[in-house]
Amino acid sequence: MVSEMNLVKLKRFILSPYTLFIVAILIPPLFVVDPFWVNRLSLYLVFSVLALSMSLCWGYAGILSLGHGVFFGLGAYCMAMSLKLLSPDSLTQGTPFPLPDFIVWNTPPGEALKLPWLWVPFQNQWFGLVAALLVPALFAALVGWFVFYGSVSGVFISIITLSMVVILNLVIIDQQPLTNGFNGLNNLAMFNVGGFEFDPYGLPTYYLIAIACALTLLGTRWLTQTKAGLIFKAIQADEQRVKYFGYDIAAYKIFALSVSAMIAGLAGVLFVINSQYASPTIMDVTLSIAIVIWVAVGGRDSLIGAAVGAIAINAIQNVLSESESLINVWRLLLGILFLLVVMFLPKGLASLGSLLQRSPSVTTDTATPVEAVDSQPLKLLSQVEPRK
Amino acid sequence: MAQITTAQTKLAPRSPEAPLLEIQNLHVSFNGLKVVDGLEFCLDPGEVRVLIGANGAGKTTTMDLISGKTKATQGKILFKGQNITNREPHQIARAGIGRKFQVPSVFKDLTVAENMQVALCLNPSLVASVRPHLQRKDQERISELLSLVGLADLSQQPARHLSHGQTQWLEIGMVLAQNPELVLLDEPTAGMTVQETRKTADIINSLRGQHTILVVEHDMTFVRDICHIITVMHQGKKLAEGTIHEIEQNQDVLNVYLGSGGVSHA
Repeated sequence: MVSEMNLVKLKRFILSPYTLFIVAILIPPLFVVDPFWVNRLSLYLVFSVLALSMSLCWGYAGILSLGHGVFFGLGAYCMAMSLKLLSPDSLTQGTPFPLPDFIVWNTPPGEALKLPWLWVPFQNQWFGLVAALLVPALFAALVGWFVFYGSVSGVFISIITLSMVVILNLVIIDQQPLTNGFNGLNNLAMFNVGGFEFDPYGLPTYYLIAIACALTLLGTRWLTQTKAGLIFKAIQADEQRVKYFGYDIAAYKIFALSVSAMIAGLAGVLFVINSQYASPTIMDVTLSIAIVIWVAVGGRDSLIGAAVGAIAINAIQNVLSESESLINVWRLLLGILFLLVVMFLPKGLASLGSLLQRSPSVTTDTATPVEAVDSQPLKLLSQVEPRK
Repeated sequence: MAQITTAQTKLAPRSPEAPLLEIQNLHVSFNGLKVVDGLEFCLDPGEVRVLIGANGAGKTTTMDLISGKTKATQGKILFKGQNITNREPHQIARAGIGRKFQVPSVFKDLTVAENMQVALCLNPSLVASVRPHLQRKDQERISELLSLVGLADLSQQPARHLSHGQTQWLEIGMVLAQNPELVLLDEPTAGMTVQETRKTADIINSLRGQHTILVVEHDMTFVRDICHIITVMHQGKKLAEGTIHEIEQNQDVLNVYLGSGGVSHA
């Protein structure tokens, strides 16, 4: 009886979408040998981390952010600043401290070369990594504090976050002496752990990103199953009602946005490790909206759905845009795909999975009523109590 | 008034105590319309009080003011001697006031048990919430409350599958899960059948002594079942207060309800 129960549990564990997804992302390198594709697949996983961040924020906490590119970009820039300072170019400028090449170019002749104060702490790669997580989170908390304690809700949050990404994009471009403007930060060092360099085209980098993606998935899943996750759902259902149970819903929303921003920052770090650059294009409106589309297609209230949506759309986009026969129509085809999903699967691709699961389980449900099973432990508890 | 005090000593043997809730000269107006206009009344700990009055008398607005949904333009609300006037709803809830709304407000997408978990906020702070939510102690309390409101068998059902009456009971259960000292019930029997109303009265009577309860209600049979003291509101003011017998004899009340055959037919 017990072993049967364990078997059922084991089967459920193996067949859970989470296990399947994690196994699926660990397998490809066994078949894919082309470094170009290894790099590209790991980029898809970076985007799936970004999609998880959006799913948490939009699907669970109901905050539709159209500015997630900011958090992604801040993370990427923080990491890129460190890797820029560690690059061979920066280390061989003839100064006693590392100096990015563009700062040399931007310094007028005759002036002393110096590292801007903003860059100084980034000489340590780990500072860059930690900053890449904390800067987006704190920035999100600040924006959230104004937005949510100011009782801004609904579409206005989307407008504010959208303008946030436009503003930050302009600031980055404008602050050329600090950020290298349009060109962004490139020619970076490889991410280095204890002397081991993560080559963006190598398998170790793929696994680094895949494991980060799996951990993010498990972490977000854990968070959505805590009581806070339940409160998020309740806030989505009826925000006003939740207040009357004593919850400070603004605090909950700020928390959701910050955690989501931190995950987006992590995606930024992984992006830099994968692509070796950070530029204003990764911090713009296009990417911010694209994230929302991936998540909408995948299924915003399903973490797996969102992650799969990001991978699927990016893969389809690459395949379509690179096949010669479709070179003129691929955008049209992608658009038709979006339309079909929105029309027939309003809850995204994830609802396909639950449709498949639901049909057989209905029959078993009727055979053993849920209540009967569930009330058993309660009965046992009430029997135990008098003895105490 | 003397009679009222004796009734209360019977209800709450802990007295003499300061009132749990004290409303002083409360005013609120919407676009110049005075909805609550100098309202004053007190609730003693452990009391079950019913607020009655014609439509537009300001009963629900009074509930809104107490629970922080509406901001008062003048006056004070003291809860346990603490000024809670115009505080945020979540602060008032944390101070120990729970509210059931007139239109049943439960989370329809969540199951009955999940609804109760949301409401069961012994510690509503964010930090306490970031951990698995199904603790055994909580589960026991939830099953206890669900059997009290008669929904134990439905705990795994989504709340949208509940009937109207069951939804009302669920919301009462949720308010109780908050374990508030003061429970505000806005028309708990609206739309209920006679049997359902009776069951609701039983639920409220079983809470007597554990919570102080303020009920807005129209159904006089139900009022008779649950309470001793009634406060009658009219045009935002307190018109009368007393036992159900006194209220039925009260000339002012009769005048206001003239033509409808007195308060019993309100």
